[in-house]
Amino acid sequence: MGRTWKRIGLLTCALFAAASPAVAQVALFPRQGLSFGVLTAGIADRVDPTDAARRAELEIVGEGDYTVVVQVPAALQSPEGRTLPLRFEAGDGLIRWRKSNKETPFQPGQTVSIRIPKGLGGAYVWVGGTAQPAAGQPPGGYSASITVQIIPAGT
Amino acid sequence: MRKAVAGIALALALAPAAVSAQSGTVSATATILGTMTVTNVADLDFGSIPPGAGQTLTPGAAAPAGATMGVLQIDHFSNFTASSVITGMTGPGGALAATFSCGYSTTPNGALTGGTFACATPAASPATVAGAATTTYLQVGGTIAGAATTGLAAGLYTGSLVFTFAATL
Repeated sequence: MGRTWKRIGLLTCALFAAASPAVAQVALFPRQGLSFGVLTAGIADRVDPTDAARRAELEIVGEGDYTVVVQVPAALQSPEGRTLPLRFEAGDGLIRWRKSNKETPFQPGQTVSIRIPKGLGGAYVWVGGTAQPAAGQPPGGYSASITVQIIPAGT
Repeated sequence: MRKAVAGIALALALAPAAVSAQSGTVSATATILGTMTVTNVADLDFGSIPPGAGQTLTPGAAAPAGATMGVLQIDHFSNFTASSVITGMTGPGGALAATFSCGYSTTPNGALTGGTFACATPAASPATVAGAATTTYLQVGGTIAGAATTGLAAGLYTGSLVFTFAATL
């Protein structure tokens, strides 16, 4: 009888272990926003994803297979509700591995699948794009949000 | 006991590697510089003034014969504010005292949109539709009092009014 109780106790512990989810293996850290700077009405301006000073940058820390979803706005907006159109094309997004020179270009707004091999520590998500102010674009500040989501493959 | 250990091992092996999705947000920003074009349509000319006489040009009204209203054309897409630096008029007899008055209008010589104001402290532009191409005129007039010309040496007296315009929201 004593041995039976011991077995039940051990099995209970094992089941608890099985039910507890493992700690997340990946983390995402926003590093800086996409900054078009000061623009002139009527003149479009493109920020290249390799432009360290102006591109948006997020850092993925971890390893494994993931789907990266970069949600970008169609336009920036002023506090008064005026809009400034944006355009994102293929190559405006770039994923750069932390410990290698490997890069994967992508089009912001679309999903991209990546594999971060063990030992590379993670990757950077760089986002550029083009702002297209109209000829009569009212002066002032405009802003919007870029959201990046990393989803483990197979979920 | 061995069965129990095997049970534990099986349970751990079946435990899913639960890696949750992560998301992060960064901003996207831009600042649009206000653009406008300012063109000098006409210089202010008080005309010929006999000694002891005065002259007045009132923005929004027709200029007296022989005189010309000063006019600046401002092409803009937003409201604006103006500032000015006035250099007094001087000539052969030294300084010629004058005061300057301004007013905004939609045509170079037409009625004013709003009233007149001292050019030394320009008023904000009439409200416009943001983003719409708009042309506004700044009419520049002024007054030279008769007393200012009494005993003053004849000749050409000149000065300048320098306006600076800044776009606003």
